[in-house]
Amino acid sequence: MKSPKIGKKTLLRDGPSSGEPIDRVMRASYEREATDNPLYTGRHFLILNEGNRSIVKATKLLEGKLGFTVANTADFVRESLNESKIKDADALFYNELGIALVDIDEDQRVMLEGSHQDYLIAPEKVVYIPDDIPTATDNHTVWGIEVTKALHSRYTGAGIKVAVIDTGFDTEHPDFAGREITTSTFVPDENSMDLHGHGTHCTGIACGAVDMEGVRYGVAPGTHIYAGKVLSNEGSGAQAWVLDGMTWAANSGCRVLSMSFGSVVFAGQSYDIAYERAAQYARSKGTVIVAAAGNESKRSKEIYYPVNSPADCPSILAVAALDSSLKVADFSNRAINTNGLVDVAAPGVSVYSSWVMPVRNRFVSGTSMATPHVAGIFALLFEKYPDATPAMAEELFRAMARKLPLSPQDVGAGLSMAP
Amino acid sequence: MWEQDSPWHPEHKMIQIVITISESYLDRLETLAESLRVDGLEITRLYAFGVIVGVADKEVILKIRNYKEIISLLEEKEVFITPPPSDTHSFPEE
Repeated sequence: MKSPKIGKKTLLRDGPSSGEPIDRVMRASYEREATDNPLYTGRHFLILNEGNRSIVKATKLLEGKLGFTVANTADFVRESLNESKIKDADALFYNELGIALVDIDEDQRVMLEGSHQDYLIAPEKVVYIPDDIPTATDNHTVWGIEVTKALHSRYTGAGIKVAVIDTGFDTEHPDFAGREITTSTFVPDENSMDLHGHGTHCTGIACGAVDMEGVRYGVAPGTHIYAGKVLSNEGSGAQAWVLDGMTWAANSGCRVLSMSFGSVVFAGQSYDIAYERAAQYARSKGTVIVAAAGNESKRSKEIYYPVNSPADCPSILAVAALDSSLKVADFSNRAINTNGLVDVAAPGVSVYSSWVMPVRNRFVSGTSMATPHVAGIFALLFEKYPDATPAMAEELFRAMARKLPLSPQDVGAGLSMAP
Repeated sequence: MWEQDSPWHPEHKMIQIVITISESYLDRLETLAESLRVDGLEITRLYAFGVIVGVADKEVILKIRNYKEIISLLEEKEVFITPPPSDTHSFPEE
């Protein structure tokens, strides 16, 4: 069996030089994606219409018509299957699935397609982790908390409970030693420890403190952290886990709830009523909810997506991302649907924060990073105005936002500013 | 391929659903949940704010869809950090 052709995509690819304009870097990234990373491996799947019931028939066909050497996963009961063990085979049947991986050329594919109605032939796809847009690392590693004036605020969110529901949190992270942290998991069979990194990064932006060099990166370092795990270590989750996390945050007395995830919404689609109901419940308990607008847009290619769900709910503030020039981030979604407005914008490109150990700290970009900036700023606001209701806090927050020469469709009230 | 009464028939495929109840009926949420159970909904979560998460096959869904108390019945969504096919969440130089 020949090896698959797979493009190179790594989380730790060499970054660009730090002075390179981000729009050029992004464009290069898209172009590279189109050319360097194949969609298919060059191998094919033979998908049997009748599943594993016709494996014997199909095996005979491959052996007889094409002279293939055929391996079967059933031959690997006592040892784990590895492609290196079937180098001499031309086809491998996945016995339980009724599917064969076959190494065929174009002529053989045409012949197989023409000779039978009992199967489908599909090219084997290359699967990737989400591609990395290499964000240039700013010299000012904490530009987010500087531009929002959180760095110099007299408030730290002292005593305010802030919930970040995400992939969990690295509770053993040294930057958070001595902090008040409450965790809970809503993901079946996974504890609240973050084995992904995204949750630890988002929590660090909203509530983090200083890194090992003494550089502060968190907006509200005095807060009591509530880290709920609603996304698995693979980075995805079920809606019910999110509803569980929202309820937990509200019932725990959190004044702010940050949600840096979502589901794609298309033009004309309405918001999800179940999320809206959960958000209304949380607001009735005194919780302000913020969520990421989403990252599907490619503005440099004039591709715009609507605000994601649940950020498109009327009772949830949708957060767009800005770069350090205070331009809308290339990927940041916009208000397209009637209810799915962008409420506010915040730093979301090259954002420095905590990461799971041993990495400790790193830069990441996304509306996911903009959202916890807003959550942290609300914590500062609630410290200043402890009796404010969510509606009052939101009104104050909008009034404090710095107006930007950009469409409200993209940035809402403007750049979030700390009190 | 499948007999109509086979548990593997597509009509009997179990679907995860999220139901939202009209606010006018929140005071009788428990009673309503009991009726839904009797009609075949396997309830996995019941939220006081009027949302029920459960599992049902198509036949049951068709039946309970007619409840006047239900304002929304949708298949449960999956959520992601960065919804595909996005390629953000970048990791630049260490």
